[in-house]
Amino acid sequence: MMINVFLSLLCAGICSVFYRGIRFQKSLTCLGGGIFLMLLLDVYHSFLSGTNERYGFQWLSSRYYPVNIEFFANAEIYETFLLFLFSALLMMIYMIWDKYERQKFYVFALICFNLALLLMLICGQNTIQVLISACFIDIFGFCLINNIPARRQYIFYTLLADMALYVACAMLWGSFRTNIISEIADREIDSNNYALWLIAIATFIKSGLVPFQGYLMPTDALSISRRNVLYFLSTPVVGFLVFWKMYPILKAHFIWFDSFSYIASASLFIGAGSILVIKKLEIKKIYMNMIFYSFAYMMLLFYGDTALNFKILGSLFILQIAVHNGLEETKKKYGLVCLLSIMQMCAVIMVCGKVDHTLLQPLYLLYLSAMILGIGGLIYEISLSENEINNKWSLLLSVMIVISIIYISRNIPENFYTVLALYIILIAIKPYRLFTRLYDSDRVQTFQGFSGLLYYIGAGPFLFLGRILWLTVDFLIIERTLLNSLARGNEILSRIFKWLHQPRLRNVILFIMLGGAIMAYSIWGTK
Amino acid sequence: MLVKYVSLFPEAILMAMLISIALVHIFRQAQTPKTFATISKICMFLSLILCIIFYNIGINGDWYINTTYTTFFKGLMLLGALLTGSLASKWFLSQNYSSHKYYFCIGFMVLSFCVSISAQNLILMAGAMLVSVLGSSYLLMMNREVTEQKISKLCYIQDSIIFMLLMGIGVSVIVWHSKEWSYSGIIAYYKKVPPQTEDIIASCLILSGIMSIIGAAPFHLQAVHTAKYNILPVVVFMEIIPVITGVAILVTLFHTVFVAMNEPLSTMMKLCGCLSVLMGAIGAGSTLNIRKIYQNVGLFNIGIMLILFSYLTVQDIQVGLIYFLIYLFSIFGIFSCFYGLCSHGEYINNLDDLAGINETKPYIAAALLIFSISLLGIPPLVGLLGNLYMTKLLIAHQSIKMLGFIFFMLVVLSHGLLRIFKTIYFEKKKINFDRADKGVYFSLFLNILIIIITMIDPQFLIDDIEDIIHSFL
Amino acid sequence: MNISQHFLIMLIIAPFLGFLFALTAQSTEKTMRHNVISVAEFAIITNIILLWRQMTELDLNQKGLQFLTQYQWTDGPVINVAFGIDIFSLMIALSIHLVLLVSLPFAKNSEHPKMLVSLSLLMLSMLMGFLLAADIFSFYIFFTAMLIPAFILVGMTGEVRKSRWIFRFFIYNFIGSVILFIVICALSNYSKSTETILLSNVAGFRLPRVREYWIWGGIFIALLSRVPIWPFHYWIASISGAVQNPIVFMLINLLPLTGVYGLVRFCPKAVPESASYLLTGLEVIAVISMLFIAMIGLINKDNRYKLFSFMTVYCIMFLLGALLPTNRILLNIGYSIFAFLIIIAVLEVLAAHIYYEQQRLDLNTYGILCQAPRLSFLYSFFTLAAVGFPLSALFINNFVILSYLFSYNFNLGLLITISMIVSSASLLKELYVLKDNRYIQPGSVCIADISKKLFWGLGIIGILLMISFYNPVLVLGG
Repeated sequence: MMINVFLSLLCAGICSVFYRGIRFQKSLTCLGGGIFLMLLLDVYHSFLSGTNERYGFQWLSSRYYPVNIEFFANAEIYETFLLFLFSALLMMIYMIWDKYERQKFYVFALICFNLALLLMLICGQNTIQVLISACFIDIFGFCLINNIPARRQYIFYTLLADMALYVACAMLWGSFRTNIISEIADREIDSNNYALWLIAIATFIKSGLVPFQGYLMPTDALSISRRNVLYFLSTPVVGFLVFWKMYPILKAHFIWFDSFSYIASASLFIGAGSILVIKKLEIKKIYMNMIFYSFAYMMLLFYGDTALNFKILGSLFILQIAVHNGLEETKKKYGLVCLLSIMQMCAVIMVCGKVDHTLLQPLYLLYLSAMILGIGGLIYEISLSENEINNKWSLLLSVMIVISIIYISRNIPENFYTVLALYIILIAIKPYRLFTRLYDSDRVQTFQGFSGLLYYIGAGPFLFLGRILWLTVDFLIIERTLLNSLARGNEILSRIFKWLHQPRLRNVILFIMLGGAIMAYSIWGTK
Repeated sequence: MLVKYVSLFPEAILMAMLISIALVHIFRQAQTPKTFATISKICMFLSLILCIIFYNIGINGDWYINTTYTTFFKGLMLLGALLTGSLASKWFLSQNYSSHKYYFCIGFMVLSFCVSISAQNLILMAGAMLVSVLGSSYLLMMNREVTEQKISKLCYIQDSIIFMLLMGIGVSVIVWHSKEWSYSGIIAYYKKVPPQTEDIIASCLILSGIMSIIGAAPFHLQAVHTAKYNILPVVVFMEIIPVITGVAILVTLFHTVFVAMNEPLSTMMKLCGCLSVLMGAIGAGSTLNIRKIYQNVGLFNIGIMLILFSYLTVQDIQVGLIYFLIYLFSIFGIFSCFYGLCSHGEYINNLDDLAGINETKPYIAAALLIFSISLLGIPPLVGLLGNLYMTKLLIAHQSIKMLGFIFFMLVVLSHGLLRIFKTIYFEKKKINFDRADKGVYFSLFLNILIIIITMIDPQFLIDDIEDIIHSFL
Repeated sequence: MNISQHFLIMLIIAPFLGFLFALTAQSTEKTMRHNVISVAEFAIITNIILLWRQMTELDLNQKGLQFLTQYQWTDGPVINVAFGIDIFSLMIALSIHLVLLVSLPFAKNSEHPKMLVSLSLLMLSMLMGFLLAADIFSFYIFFTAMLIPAFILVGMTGEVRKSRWIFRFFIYNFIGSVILFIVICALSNYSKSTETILLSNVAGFRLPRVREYWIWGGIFIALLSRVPIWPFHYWIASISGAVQNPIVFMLINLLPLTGVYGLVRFCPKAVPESASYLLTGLEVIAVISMLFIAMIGLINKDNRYKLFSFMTVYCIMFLLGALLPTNRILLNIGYSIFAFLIIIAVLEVLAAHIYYEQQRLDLNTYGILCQAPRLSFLYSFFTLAAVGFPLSALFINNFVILSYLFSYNFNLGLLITISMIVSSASLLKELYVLKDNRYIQPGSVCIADISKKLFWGLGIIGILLMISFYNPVLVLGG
């Protein structure tokens, strides 16, 4: 049962998180991989049995806002989770050869927690469960990142995304007094409801689509293992999963639904372009991930939530992991890693390559073109030894990537081979030289335009207004005018009082006259 | 008939005390400040006991009576004088100053106050008040001979004479018009004949005299000078004892004798009360002399009492008396604290000298804090009770503006007292203090105990005041 | 009267006795700090046990105050005082005790540890009386009585540089108390019966329209004078931003919550109709103040001011939640306050440690946490909990409060959310500054990490917070 898997992952994570030693890292990694393998087989067995399961418990028992935590699983959910379990297993295998990661067992713990929360998210049928899982995963993402500038960017972006999601769920609950996604989808919602906007924006931020990709850029300083977990089991994939979960609500009511596809497609193009102009390999890989996620969103936006889509996305997801790990210079046993990646791609082709993708042609071709453009550049650099990967294995891997992507979609258009031939000619006559010239430009390489823009649009007004308000309202108006006036008034009265009470005859007469005036008023004034 | 004259025993004891002090001073060689303090204590104590025993016996309804009401005030006054005298003996001992003048004067004043409280005719009352003023003038001669003190003494005498003169004029006019000098006669006269303008003016003049004894604005100048320029025992006595007498006579005159002239007198009392509140609140924040600060706090509270007494119902008198008692407990405590603050033989006067006493004299500092909070009416101390009754009463009378004014001034007053708290607790110690006498701590302890008991179970106080009011009316 | 009702009074008396014992604790330099802190810890733990005992007797499904105990104070006029407790006040009381327990170790660093600890216990006693007050008189007594220990604490041990701020702090709070006093006397006069005037019955009084307007206006002003909304925000901010001692900081910043709590008690279901248009003005001012303070917190570099602005934003959010025309979220407000106070207390304690170390070693703030792993972990954990990640009861309960606020008024909810984001951003910015190790040279002087004992102590507090995320009542074994 899924609840058993959930609890097992939690226990494994809790047991592992406290071990911060450096010894036995490889052995412990193998142990971790073994645990994932066992869980994989368990879930696969449940998947094969074909039964649906539901386990739930009431977390909040209030009459006004009850919340249940449910673990509902059907075939689709089993498949989805199998995908992530398999990815985790792959990550553990790759981690064995990651010489830069010294706390492999700690990373294993974080993978366990992430998987457990992904399971909770995938099985969730209500907005609260989705929200909690998404927010919790960000905490483990924060723990995963052991670089301060990267953490800073990460936490600010994820805070914004989580707040947006939080507020959206609060608004939906406030409006409909239910948190069940299917029930909300059936209700009448105003198509301009801000909650729908916020859900969409939150998921885009999390997945790192344009213009929110800034938080992922500093993560290039992390080890490959941590980047694996971050990109494929953490926030970016959570963003997509939340979008997928909220899809019934968005599809039913959100009139700007199609417009978001433009943002996704913009991400795809910008990703492709960035791969060409950015020199650093780690950043190129981030943009490759961005292309993948853009494609995933566009798939869902254009074609909806179908099993076909799942198979395509699942295959490409595994492929993406292979690309990510394969194109990494680990020096030691790099060949082995590359080979593993190639084998992974072959497996993907064999398992997923038989699906009929006719309907997906335009979109898939777009993705294909973007990836080939990017990989093509990489092939060019490797062949010219202009990148740090100066290795025949990389070349082989890159070629394998292209073949895999093409082969996954078996329905190639008639003139595709013509285009491909033209493309190879283009590579041969070195048009990529135009782009490699930009490698020396610091401005291009360190461009933070999107982050800067977001900062100035988002935080700038608050900073400016805060300063103005402090100067005008607090300091000038209240301190200088009101409070000082009161203090001066009090001082003047005290001086008058002191003067009046000096031991002088004039003061005696003054007070007697005052007494007389009071008497006169008492006698004649009240008549 | 002899029994009626037995009721004069308390006064006789006081007379005997005066004679004894004079004789001891003249004839006895080995005399110390403690000698006269002992005589004073014994006599005042006896007088107090006899006063309580003969609480309902008087000579003649038109001259001199004792009721629960008069016994209450006389008892309070005698007790106050006893305690102030006991504390004063510590001062005289520490200063090595002759105390015969002091005890003689306070005995003299207490005697005259007793007479004025129990007096049932205007002439006796006014005469006793005039005599007490003479006594107080002589008391002020105990000053150290510094120029400002001489000036203040002269100012006091001058002010007192003026107000006593006014009072005398008032008494004369009323007696001349009504052909009566006893209270009952005057009451009966004004029931038959409506009071004329001259009568009202005369009653106002009498009231002004009483207010000058109490120290209410605008007749408070002499009280101001007393606080600043005199030795501590004199200040303590003058701040407490005359006020008790003044309140007793004020209530008697206003609610029984001059009941026919209530309206103008009520207005006058309200206005004087408001002025006292205003002056007290501002004055507390305008001086650095701690005695003057508390004298101004006293002025503030006296103002409130006047406002409460200015209303005409029994409940108002009850509330006024409760407020007065609560004020009395607190102000006595404050002045008792001053007896514990002596540095190199000099009793401190200046606010800055209080800096950091929470380190050297933590209990006295705590006592000052407790009594000051009580005077402000901040819970959980007994001052809240006084404020509570006052507020409920004013709301019942629909005097919301008056209430607003009083509380606004209370906030202004709190600023003055906050300076004291700040000096005591926030500033570093500047001077070292001498060891305080145990009597001071004992007095403070008793006072705080009374405050706490009154706060926890105020019913005993309320019931007693009710009985007193009923006996009086 | 059954034993549970006696426990109620014990909850007030125990810290008061602790105050007296602390005052009389042995005063030698060597033993004073230790003795006084031990006495305080004992008093606080005793009270926590009593709270737990109350919890076991409490019926969670029953609405309103339970174990109502009445005492006749005077019978001419009849004035009764009453005390009672419900889960809402119990959770807040527990959180205040935990806050003090967390902050107590820092009493050792103070110049006047005896006075600090004694007055803290006195203030705790007054706060307990306030939380247990069920009628208008006892409410007022404890509402005002806590001002004196607060004033002395701030002036004597708060290390505030400008005394005029302390004066203003007291006087403006005192003005609020005076207004409340007038109002309760008016209510007492109006109620002709001799029955105790319970707080929850005040909203049911049928007063003439003009009078009702004045009464409710007075109640609002009195209670809101404690909350840092315009124009009362200035002196509260001056003091809160200036206080250096963590115990004093926390106790002073409890005062705004007393205003919120008061409104919850006076208006358990809804504000009366005549006061409803007062409410609209209040909402506008509150939200503007919230945004304003959040923005100033963002630009201000002082960590204490950032914490204060964060507390203010949440306090105002609780206030607006309390004033909604429903009583369904009162418990959520209580649970949120429970988690919120504990988080802020720990952050303040850690910030104080950093500040003291920084002053001692004359270090820059940048990257100061990098060499102190325990401190860094705790600071990060509690900052994440503060900004709203699902690590405490704050998460789900704020969610419910926000959802009701949005359904009541969308623009209000939106502005509140923006304020929460801005104040969270300022806390995160501070965390980043403390962890930014770009300027740290190898071999440079580092601050001392917190002791393992303190780490594990605060770690247990963190675990309690996470338990509260699941169910806050579980913290007390409910």
